[in-house]
Amino acid sequence: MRRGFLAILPLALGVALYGFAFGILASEAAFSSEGIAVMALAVFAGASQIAAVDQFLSTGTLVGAAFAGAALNLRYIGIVASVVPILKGLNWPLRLIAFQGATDENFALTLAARKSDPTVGGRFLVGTALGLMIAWLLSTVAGGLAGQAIPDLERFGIGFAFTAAFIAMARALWPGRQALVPWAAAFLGTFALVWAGLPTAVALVIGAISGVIMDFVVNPHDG
Amino acid sequence: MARPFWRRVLDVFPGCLVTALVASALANGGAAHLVAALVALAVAAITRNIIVTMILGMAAFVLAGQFL
Repeated sequence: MRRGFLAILPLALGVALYGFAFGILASEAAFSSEGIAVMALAVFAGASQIAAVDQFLSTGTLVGAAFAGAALNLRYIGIVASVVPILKGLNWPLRLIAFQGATDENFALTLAARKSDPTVGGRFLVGTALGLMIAWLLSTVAGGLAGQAIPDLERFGIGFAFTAAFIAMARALWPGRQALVPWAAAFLGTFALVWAGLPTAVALVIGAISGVIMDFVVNPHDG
Repeated sequence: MARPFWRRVLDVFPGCLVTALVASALANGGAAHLVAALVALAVAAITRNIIVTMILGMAAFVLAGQFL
């Protein structure tokens, strides 16, 4: 477990920077430090937390926030499913930590370490999960406190922070040219619907679904 | 190998939703949002770094807001 914890530390530094930025954004949305801490451990997913806070700000509803947050983390259904075989021999509290703490970063690290050393397994993954959770918790709360301490964040362009984060996420999610038409459909559809005066939450759902439908239309031979 | 239907939907949906989130922010925003979005897109394409993209995107937003 300690090996995993030590191995994830360099990555945890990068995560902490991101967490700090999220904390500032959340405090801007009037989240308390305690709220930020609870969200950090309960959701434990940067992109989802940003989307949820953004939706909470713009629509003011918990349903929109929960929907956006959950939708961005659909891929974890796949990640958690592939984690299960590694967890053989662990008791259930450790398994829960591994399930909750599995992310793109430490899952990839564990698989890479396992390739060169077959003794790397569930305990290693739990160590990495603990390292990331501690870094995420501390950095998001620190960001929240910093955000509360600095007045008038608007002059630093905080109003564009969420949009910039989504653009960076889109870059990370870009799967290649086959996504061009679906993403264009999602973009134009949502833009037009918001423009036409539909509630943002409704426009988002219709826009994103029309993107998925376009994927089936223009890429009939999935492969 | 073709993916099962729901697997494919789960794969494709997050990217479309993030794109839709950007679209809704731009539709609700002004000219400064548009300029900053183009800057952020260029930075994201080059650096692939979320923090750098946020910092430079926000800087562009502040600057654009002063001129537009």
